[in-house]
Amino acid sequence: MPGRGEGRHARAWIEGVACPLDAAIEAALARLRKSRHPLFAGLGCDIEGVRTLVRLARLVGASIDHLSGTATGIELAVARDAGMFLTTPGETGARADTLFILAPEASEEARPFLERLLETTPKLAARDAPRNVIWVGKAPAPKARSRRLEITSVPVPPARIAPFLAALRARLAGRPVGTAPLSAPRLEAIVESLRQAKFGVAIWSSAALGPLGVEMLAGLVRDLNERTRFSCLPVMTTDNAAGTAMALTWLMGFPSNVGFARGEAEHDPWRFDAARLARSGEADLALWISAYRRHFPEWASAVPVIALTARAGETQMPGALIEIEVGTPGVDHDTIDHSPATGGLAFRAATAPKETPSVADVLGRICAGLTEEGRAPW
Amino acid sequence: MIRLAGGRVIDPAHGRDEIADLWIENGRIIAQPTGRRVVESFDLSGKIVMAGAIDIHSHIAGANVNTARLLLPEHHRAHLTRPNETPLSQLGWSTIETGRLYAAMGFTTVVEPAIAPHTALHAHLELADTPIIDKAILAVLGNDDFLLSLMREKEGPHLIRDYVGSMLASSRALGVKVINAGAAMAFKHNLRSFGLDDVVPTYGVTSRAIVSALQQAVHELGVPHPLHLHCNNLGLSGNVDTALETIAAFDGLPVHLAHLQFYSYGAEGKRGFSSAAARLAAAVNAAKTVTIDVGQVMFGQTVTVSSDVLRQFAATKFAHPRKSIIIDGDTNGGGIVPIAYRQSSFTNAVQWSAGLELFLLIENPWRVFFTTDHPNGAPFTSYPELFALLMDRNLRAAWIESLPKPALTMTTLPSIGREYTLFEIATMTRASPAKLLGLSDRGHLGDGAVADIAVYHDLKDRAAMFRGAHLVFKNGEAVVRDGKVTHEIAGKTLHVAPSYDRAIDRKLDGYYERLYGVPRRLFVVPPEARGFLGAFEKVPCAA
Repeated sequence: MPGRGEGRHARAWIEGVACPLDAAIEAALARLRKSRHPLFAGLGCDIEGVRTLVRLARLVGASIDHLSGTATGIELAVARDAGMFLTTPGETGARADTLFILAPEASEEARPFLERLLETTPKLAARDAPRNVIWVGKAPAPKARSRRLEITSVPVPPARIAPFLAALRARLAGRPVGTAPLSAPRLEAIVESLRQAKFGVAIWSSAALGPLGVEMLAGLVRDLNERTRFSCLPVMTTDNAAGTAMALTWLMGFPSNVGFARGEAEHDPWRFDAARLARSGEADLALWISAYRRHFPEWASAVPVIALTARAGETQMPGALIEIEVGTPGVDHDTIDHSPATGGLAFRAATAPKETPSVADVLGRICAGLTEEGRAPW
Repeated sequence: MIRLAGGRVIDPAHGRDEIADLWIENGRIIAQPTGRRVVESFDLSGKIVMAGAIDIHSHIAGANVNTARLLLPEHHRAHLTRPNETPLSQLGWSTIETGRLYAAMGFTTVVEPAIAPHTALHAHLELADTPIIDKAILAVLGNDDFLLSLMREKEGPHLIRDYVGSMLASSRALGVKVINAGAAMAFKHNLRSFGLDDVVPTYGVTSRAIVSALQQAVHELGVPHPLHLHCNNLGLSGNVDTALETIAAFDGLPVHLAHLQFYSYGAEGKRGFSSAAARLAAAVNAAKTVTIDVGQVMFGQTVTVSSDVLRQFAATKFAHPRKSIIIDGDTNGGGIVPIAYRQSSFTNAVQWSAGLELFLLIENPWRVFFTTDHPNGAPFTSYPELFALLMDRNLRAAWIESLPKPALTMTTLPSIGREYTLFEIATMTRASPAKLLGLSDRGHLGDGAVADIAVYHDLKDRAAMFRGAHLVFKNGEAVVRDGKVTHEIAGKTLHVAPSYDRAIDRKLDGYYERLYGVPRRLFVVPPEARGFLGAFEKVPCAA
């Protein structure tokens, strides 16, 4: 969009004082030049933003982390370490005759998708029977609004879900179970229900299940596939975390937790953990990117922060050294990012185009400033 | 104007193998000019000059490949820390490395052969981030409810043709790939094996019928690249019968059979696993409209990335390391299963031998293509070793020496003396791929061709020769010197845009709304997304 990068309408602050975009970019450039070890975190931006931030990270030798401790981080770690069966929102809605929903209350973002799922019928399902929903959560499931739906509520608090899944897995394999969060007949009924699925899908919130719970669930689904068909659909998280992870993976080989200090991409989940780098003082500067919503990390007070944020208010975010307002992808500017509706990357035109610069615009100008002074581009 | 002086020019498209000069102007090769100033001249005496190489089948981008990167970070690490010690060290695990490593070997065009149309946008984003080389994708069809429903309802071929035309246009693909036709859908219905005449549950159509319908549609749309077919029963003992039946079914029609090595297995011997490559090669020699690529296995750790989800599910039992990702996609499937091919393994040794038999027993280098089905048989970086094996029977003999003896009784390889010439290598990696893909402006060194040129040292060690080109020009720009990328430029993405009746698009729009409750535009590569993608170039279809 012509003129957008000039940021005539962008809000920016340096140490709490409002300033033109150019001045904020100059100041950010100066800090990045001086930094011995910059940390890039948050990374709530679209694919174009990720491309630019990887270019910048290579130029300044930054470390990158946007997944440590997040739901997407847990899913990717389990998929990578243990493998997983995966499916799409479309296939789940159109085909799944059985839905195994775990800790739905833990994810606010998942609610519209789950509600829609409970209102649709699987047009491609192999059997002509009501969709069977097993709803495992703190609160009981909503009432079925259609005769094409049978809902079984299973009250299990999040902390007990991993042992619950272990018990299901043991019973599926015909092994005895000692203590389980459910009575033996109820456990048996759920095992039977999963076994009877023609095409079942497990849907869960990783934030509630934790790595062990997710790994146990992945194992249960693998076991079910010995006899029938079952797959997994982690509930989609916000801030394009999945899309950012995809783009980082094709650009660097890794989804997150990467350092460029030695010139090439090195991956280490502990060494390149944002909170650790900030709190330990190893990183002396942070570039925080959050183009989908305005929020700040817990560790922000531990390190000087340059923040690129959406929807800035009248004053600078407390604790930021420099703050630059950026456009929200798909609202202020056209974008490609992860679509919760398809489970893949999709193009979205701006719904209310504005001249607020995008993350790619701002970081692109910083990259240009660095390459002009002779730093080698990748 | 650039002059490439005195090299040995090997250009099979024009039947040339001679010492000659070449001239480049404005990114193109031009006939010998008169009265114009040479800006730069390269003395290439003693060097081998070929067109830039073209890879017709290499999984370099897209959602499945990216998932493989995610599943196997250890491969990337090997790449970084032990650059010359392991085969995986050069897997080319990021898009950026992929472009650079291909260019260093003198490759300038690469086709990613398996993109589900729903994920085409993702694939094109990756290709835009793959530097130097030109790229293209093939769209995977044949497992989607829309097509199978058209066939179940016995709609005429014109609707299927329009549907294929629309899918090619909306995914910006160069051609159509069909992968174990119907099997990904059958697997969703819990079938665990699927042959050429098996029926997709609830649709009542056979795999054979799907392939046939798509072959016809591709042909009628005038798409230059014939249907690119991944047959049923990949990897199974005795599956040569499937390949032979498929060849018989399409004899007389243009069709390309992918990675045929994985279908060249008999069930002979104590272990019930043998090479039937000699029989298969004879059938290919006789079927003049059929082309194949090999999908050679090379020893070492790799990962299999395939949309043949039914087959990949079966392979999870043999995963090494023991983890895999199995995907039930919207209209397709996918499976990522790591594998280690071992020289000491009877099975892997038979596979390795069978691939070489196909290369050496198929007589016409215009009909056999050079692939390892990267990364399924081996990473593309193992091509130089494979060139050397084809060109030197003594080198082959040395490798054969180290294989398990029982494996050698299951293959004719030790008895084959053929050695490929440089002219034949240039045919199978330059001239014939360009012809197969309908790319008239490349794969040769004639007047007007894109100045994609690879110059090699004429080394005795053919592997070393092909591993690092002396010089590579892309669009007339020098991008590689002595095996090192010196200049990174952006390549283009090639695609077709066949004409079809647009009424099918309205039908598809309604179908997506009804089935998924999501607008179809979220599943395509819309024109407005161009700003986020690389440059595209249209390849003409026949009228």
